[in-house]
Formats: sequence, C-alpha cells, structure tokens
Amino acid sequence: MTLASIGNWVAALAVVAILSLLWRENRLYRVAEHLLLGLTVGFVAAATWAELLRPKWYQPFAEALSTRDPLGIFVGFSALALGCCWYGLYFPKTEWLSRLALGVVLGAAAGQAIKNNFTQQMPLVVTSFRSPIEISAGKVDWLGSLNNSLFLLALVTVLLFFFFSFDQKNPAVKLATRIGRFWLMVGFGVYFGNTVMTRLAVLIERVWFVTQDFVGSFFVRVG
Amino acid sequence: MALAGGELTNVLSAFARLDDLDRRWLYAVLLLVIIVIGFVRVPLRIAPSKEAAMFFDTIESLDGRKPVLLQSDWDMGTIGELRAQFYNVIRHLFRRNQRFVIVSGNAIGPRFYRPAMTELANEFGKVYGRDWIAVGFRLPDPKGIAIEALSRDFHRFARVDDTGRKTTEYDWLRNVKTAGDWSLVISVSYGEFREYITYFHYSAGTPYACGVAAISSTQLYPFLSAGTMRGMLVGSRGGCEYEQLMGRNEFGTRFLAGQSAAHLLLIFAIFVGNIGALAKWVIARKESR
Repeated sequence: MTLASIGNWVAALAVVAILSLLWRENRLYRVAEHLLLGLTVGFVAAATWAELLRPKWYQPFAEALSTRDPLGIFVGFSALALGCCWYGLYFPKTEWLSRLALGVVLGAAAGQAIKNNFTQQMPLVVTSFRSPIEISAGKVDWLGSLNNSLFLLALVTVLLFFFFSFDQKNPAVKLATRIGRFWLMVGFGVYFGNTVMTRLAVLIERVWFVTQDFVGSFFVRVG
Repeated sequence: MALAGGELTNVLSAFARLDDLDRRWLYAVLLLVIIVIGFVRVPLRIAPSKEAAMFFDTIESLDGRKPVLLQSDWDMGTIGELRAQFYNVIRHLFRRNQRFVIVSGNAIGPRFYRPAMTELANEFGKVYGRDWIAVGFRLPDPKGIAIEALSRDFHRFARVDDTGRKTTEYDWLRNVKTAGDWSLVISVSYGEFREYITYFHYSAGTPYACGVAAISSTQLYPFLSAGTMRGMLVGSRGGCEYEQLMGRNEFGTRFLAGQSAAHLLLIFAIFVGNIGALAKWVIARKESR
C-alpha cells in the first residue's frame, strides 16, 4: 500500500464520517471533526513557517546577520520584536505590548480604508447615476431604458426603506418602502441561492471523490 | 370531477404528511441524485455570461509584453467551484503564450496549484521558469497591507520563488517592479480582493479580473458595471462557462451538470414541502371552523 493510497483511504473515511452527521450526531463524526481541526491548525502553522516566515523573514535576517548588514539586522529584529508583542496578550502585565502590534495593524488598515473608500466605492456611486432613458446610436434603447428604470426604482425605494429620519406614514412613502422591501427580498434570495450553490458544490465534489475516485479506483484495479 | 368532502380530506392529509417528512429522506435522495449524475455524461451546453465573456476577452486582448499576476487561493473547501476556473484560465494563458507569476494568499494554496501546474505544463509543453513561476504563500492577513507591498516592489515582496531561486534572476521578470509592470491581475479565490482595484487598477491602470465562489459573487456585479473589474467567473458556473469558451467539455461541464441536477431536486423539494405546508394549513382552517 503506497502513501497516496493510505491518504485516499483516510480521506474517504473522513468524508463518510463527516457526512454521517446527516444521519445523526455520533462519535465517528466527532472524531473526524477533531481530526480535521487538529490537522488544519498544525498544517497552517507548518505551512506559514515553510512558505512565509522562513523565506521572507528568517533567511533574510540570517543573511543580514552573517554579512553584518545593519539595515537588514534592524528590519529583521524589528519584525521579530513587533511579532512577539502579539504574545503579550497572554499575560496581564504585558498585555499593553499586544496593543502596540494591534495599533500598527489598525493604523495601517484605517489608512487603507480611507483610500479604499474613494478608489473602490466612488466608481460604484458614479455608475449609480443612470438616465432612465438610454440613447444608443441616436435611438432609444428600450431594453437599456427598462434596465436603468428598474435600477433607479430599486435604488430610490431601498434608500427610502432605510430612511428613518421621519415617520413613514405617508401612503406614497409607505408604498415606496414596501417596494424597497421587495427589492431587498430579491437581493437576499440571490444571496441565499448563491450560498446554496457553494455549499452544494462542496458536497458534490466530496461525494464524487468517494464514489468515483476512491471506489472507482478499486474497479480499475480489478479490471 | 370534484372530490367529495371525505376524499378531499384524505388527499389533503396525504399532502400534509409531506410537511412532516424526515429530512434524512431528502438527504438520501440528494446523495443518490449526485452519485447517479456523476456517472452520466450530460451534453450540457450553456451560453457564457457577460462577466465570463469579459474575463475571456481580457485575456485575449493581452499582447504578452508584460506578465500576468495570478493569485491562486483555491483549496479543499473550494476545489469543486474553483478547480475548473483555475485550470481553464491557466490553459488560456498558456495557449496565448502569456507568461505569468502565481502567488497565494492561502497557506494551503500552494499544495493545490503545484500538482495542477505540473499537469497543465505537461499538457502544453511549458517550462517552469521560462513560461511561468510561482512564489508560494506570500499574502498573509491583513491582505490589504500585503497587496500594497506587492504593488510597490515585486522583487522585495517575493524575494525567492517556489524553487528557492531569486525572482530577480528571471530575465522576463527583471523589469517588473511596481503595479504598472503587470498586464493583468487575476485572483481565483473564495472571494475577491478589492485591494487590487485600489493598488493596481486605480493607481496604475492594471486591470483586475477574479474567479470567486458563487457565495461571494452577488455583491461584485456593481464593480463590473463600474469597470473596476474586467471580468468575473462565478462558482462552478463560471468554471463551466470558461471551459466551454475554451472549446472543451471536461470536469467543469460535468460538475455543473451535477450541480444543476441537485438544484432541480432542491426546487422540487421546496415545491413539495410548500404543498405539504399548504395542505396542513387548509386542514387546520377546516378544523377550526
């Protein structure tokens, strides 16, 4: 038995064990769940070292130490010191150290968020201003106009739905907010449909792995 | 022929029982449908969506002078939806003789793209180092900061590739430094990375296209309308569309056939369940009278 086939056996048994939850809660499922969690945490820790920390921090730092490059040593040591600050969180006396690291990350993220709002959101706001009558090559594009009109209707009514600064007692406003709610429900429906699609894709891939790749491999061998 | 009172009650009670159906029966039928459809070749033909066609056209329009940056984050959780997307986008890049660099924002990502790239390179007779390189997991969280660093100086950001060779040693990458030195940025991941819009599209005019899981796609359509994204592949549908745009009929098409069958079953189950609920409501109303 090769290492790959042992891996396939473990994978197929783990899939069956995880799917057994659909029947009812059982120990096999719990074992597989803990196995998965343990493997993921262990693997991510090892991969982070091998794929990221070693080539990006350890190797340049070791190189700087061996060549006595002051800038490389300073950068490597600063990264180490700042990274270690995160672990201050585990002791009450050193908790403040973790805030230093958090402050650097939050500061950078806040700065980026301001920039992102302009570069990512503003183009969306600009394209929201559409004319209900679309002219294409000197003629009215009826389908385009209908599309834009529906877009504007949805935009205005949904904005009205979330406008709580005045009492929405006026019948016209009431109707508009109801239409807004309808659009929101359509949006949530699309979200939910896409969610189901993603979840089913995961299920189909795993079921096909067990029934075709795993079970199928025995038939190929027998054949 | 109208039903008599007693007969109608019997029919309604039969339907009402559907509402109390043990959900495990549904799971069993769903599994059965998925298993059976896996062994059947369905001649599925779908028209490519606008967003998939935009993605395809964006790669078609590349002139090969600058390399493409491709972020590959798909793993076990997204393999069903993103495998066909990744395979066919890479095939397209290879077919166009477009050089590219793969980077990952997922610690497990390299374990998935490496065997896939070996398979695809053999299929097209492409050579690592000459036609593409991969630099591995270089985009940890917070992604925004990592992507900004990537946009400023690629060689300082990546340092070495998957083989341990310095990225500056590749001739075709020597002039690549900032965001403007790439011809296109692609991400194949569970979700999109809007930081590419800020640091590549907005700052340097480098277009961005993404392949995402269906669950992440809904909120991204406005970006296509605004022109800040130059294409999007949506879940297994996107993979199938791209596969068919490439003139192929393989895993992506087969997978979407399975997905369509499962969706049809769910729609049928929703319909039947609602009939059961409706019958229950009618019976309850009759009894209250």
